[in-house]
Amino acid sequence: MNSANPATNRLLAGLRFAVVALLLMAAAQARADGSLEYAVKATYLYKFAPFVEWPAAAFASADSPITICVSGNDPFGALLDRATADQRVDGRSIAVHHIASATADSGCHILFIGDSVSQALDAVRGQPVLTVTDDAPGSHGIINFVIRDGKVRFEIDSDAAAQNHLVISSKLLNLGYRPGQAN
Amino acid sequence: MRNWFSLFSHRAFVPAVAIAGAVLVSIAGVWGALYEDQLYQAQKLKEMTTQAEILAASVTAALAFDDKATAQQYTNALRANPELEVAVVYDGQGKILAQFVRPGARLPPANPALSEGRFRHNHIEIAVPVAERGQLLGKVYLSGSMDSLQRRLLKYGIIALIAAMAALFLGALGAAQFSLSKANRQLAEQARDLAKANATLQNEMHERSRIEDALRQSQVERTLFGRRGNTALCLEKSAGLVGAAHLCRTPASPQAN
Repeated sequence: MNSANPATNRLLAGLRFAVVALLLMAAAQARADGSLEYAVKATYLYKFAPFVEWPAAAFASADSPITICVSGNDPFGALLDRATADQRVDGRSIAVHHIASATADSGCHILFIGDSVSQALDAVRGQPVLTVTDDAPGSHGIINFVIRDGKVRFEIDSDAAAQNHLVISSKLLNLGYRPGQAN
Repeated sequence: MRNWFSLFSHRAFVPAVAIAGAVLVSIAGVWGALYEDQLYQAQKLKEMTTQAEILAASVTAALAFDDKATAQQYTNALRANPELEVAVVYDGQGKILAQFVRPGARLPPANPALSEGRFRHNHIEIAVPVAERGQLLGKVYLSGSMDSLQRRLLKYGIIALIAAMAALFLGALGAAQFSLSKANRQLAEQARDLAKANATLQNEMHERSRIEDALRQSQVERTLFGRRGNTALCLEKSAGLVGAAHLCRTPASPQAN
């Protein structure tokens, strides 16, 4: 049976190869899409900074860097470091810290919470920290990334920002996605 | 100073002064028109710069987060200005994020250089950066129309023409004033002559009155002393001859006898 028809065997082998190739391409595409998504999110993370006002006490000095922390699961890899390299906001450089879990004294200005969202939010509640979550169900940060119509959008919780003593520019608030909003 | 005034107020100089004044006022009118044109261009540039900066400040977040719909909304708001023909928002790489171009207007340039304002033909162009707290995000390009050169020249030419007409009117008024002054001077001279003649006449009348008094005195003397002769004759002659009193005071004169 296996050696019944060499031509059929070649056809089957070709089909198997094609299926494997398609699967590999799909996986690569998915990884590329995911990579693109997180490249966009990494860019957005530091681009939030010009539209947020921290209290003066949040910085040690006038030229202290803006610190972006990624706690827990880090989906960005080197993307965030590359995106923020050589970027300055209001004369401040941008520093990226990868931390296991957030604490009140971790010195973060922007905190991307990769996992354990509730614990991280509790840890920095009332601190001048802009919390960012990634399409988190249930509790989420001041800014919550969502995917709508294939685009990276974000929701903004201005009440949570006020609790953390942050002022978010109306320009950024206008861009925030609101459930039910037509794109 | 008075000599200079006399020189310029001489009749022969009045037309020349009027024409020179008209030319000067016309030159001032042309200079004023050019100055007005400069002010107009500066005003247009200021308006365009303000609108570009407003749009640039509005689209910062849209540019930062690549929100084309929001950027287009802000750009479309500029359609309310009929003089604005092109408005474009470029991202940091020079790609167009949002734009509007009126029908018939020139297409926007690809990634224009930043410019504080440039006049080309009857258009003004400007490209300003879009930045938020020191972070450069892109740029905004605006192009708008201005009044055509012919229309501006016509507008300012009318001003210059009015100035020239005003100068000619002033010249004519000056000439008329000069003629009137001259007539007044002549009248004043005539009045002085009349006053002088009147004074002479008054003197003569006074003299005549005095002679008449003297003659009356002589007549009284003749009546009193019965003398006739040269005094009576003198009275008769002097009745119509003013200023002959000295004849009457010489009774021994042979002519009187």
